[in-house]
Amino acid sequence: MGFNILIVDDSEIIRSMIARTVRMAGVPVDKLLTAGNGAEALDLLNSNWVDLVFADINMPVMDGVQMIERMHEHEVLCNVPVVVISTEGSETKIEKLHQKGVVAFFRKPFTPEMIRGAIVEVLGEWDEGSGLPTDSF
Amino acid sequence: MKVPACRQILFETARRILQEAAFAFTDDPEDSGREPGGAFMACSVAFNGPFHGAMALASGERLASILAANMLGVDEDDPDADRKKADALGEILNMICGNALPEIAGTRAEFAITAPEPLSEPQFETMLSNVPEHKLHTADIVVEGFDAFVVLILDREDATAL
Repeated sequence: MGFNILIVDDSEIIRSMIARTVRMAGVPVDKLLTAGNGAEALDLLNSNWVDLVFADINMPVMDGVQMIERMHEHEVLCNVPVVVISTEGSETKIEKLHQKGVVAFFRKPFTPEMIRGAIVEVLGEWDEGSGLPTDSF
Repeated sequence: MKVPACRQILFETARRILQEAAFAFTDDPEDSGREPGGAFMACSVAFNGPFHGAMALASGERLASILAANMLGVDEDDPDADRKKADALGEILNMICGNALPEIAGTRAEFAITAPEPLSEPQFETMLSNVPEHKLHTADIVVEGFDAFVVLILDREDATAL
């Protein structure tokens, strides 16, 4: 039993880095899904249960902000937490993202501690052995 | 901000990003010998906000492969490192640009940064030769013993003051 996590970034190498960081952080993962832009991510969100989304902002076809706005218009997807990992460093843009419901923002480069911290904050602690939430014991 | 300050931001930001994102050792060009690093590779991003401009990163393909390998956590001779070297160089540039702009323009300034685009050596040289000297800021950096070159073009009326 584990979490379903969706990683959205147009860079294949960044998707690989985030996926590796999630695994290194010891997060119990059931499905690790990846998408190259917001439109691909919405397709995956419509056909899979996802516990947490890590999303970039600047992407072709549909950017991260448009994706988050579409999610907020949806009665189910509006409840899926989104953590933004972007090169953007503007405080103004970060404030706008928080207003759109983004639960956390990290500027690239990121560390495993940041990723693990975001997962713990959003999804709660888990038992390393069973992968179950610690509040279930 | 004077020219040396802008160049210093470029150099320090590039060095920090290379260390943190790709676990790469960096040196001042004056402090270390340079090695040829295989075929030329470069990429660029454009940005638009309170002022606009572009940034580019050039290196040899061996360094790009090392960066990709480090970012992926695989050996240098892993086929994935070679396949993703252009992506690695582009993402390193993207991070340098995203981290350097708030240092130059302030943390409230909003910029739109384009996706990294590959540049051939003639395109890179043409880009440099077409920019007035007062709008061009460059930083040499030695990474893992190889030469890398970061370019910032600030297209603003007061660029001479930077």
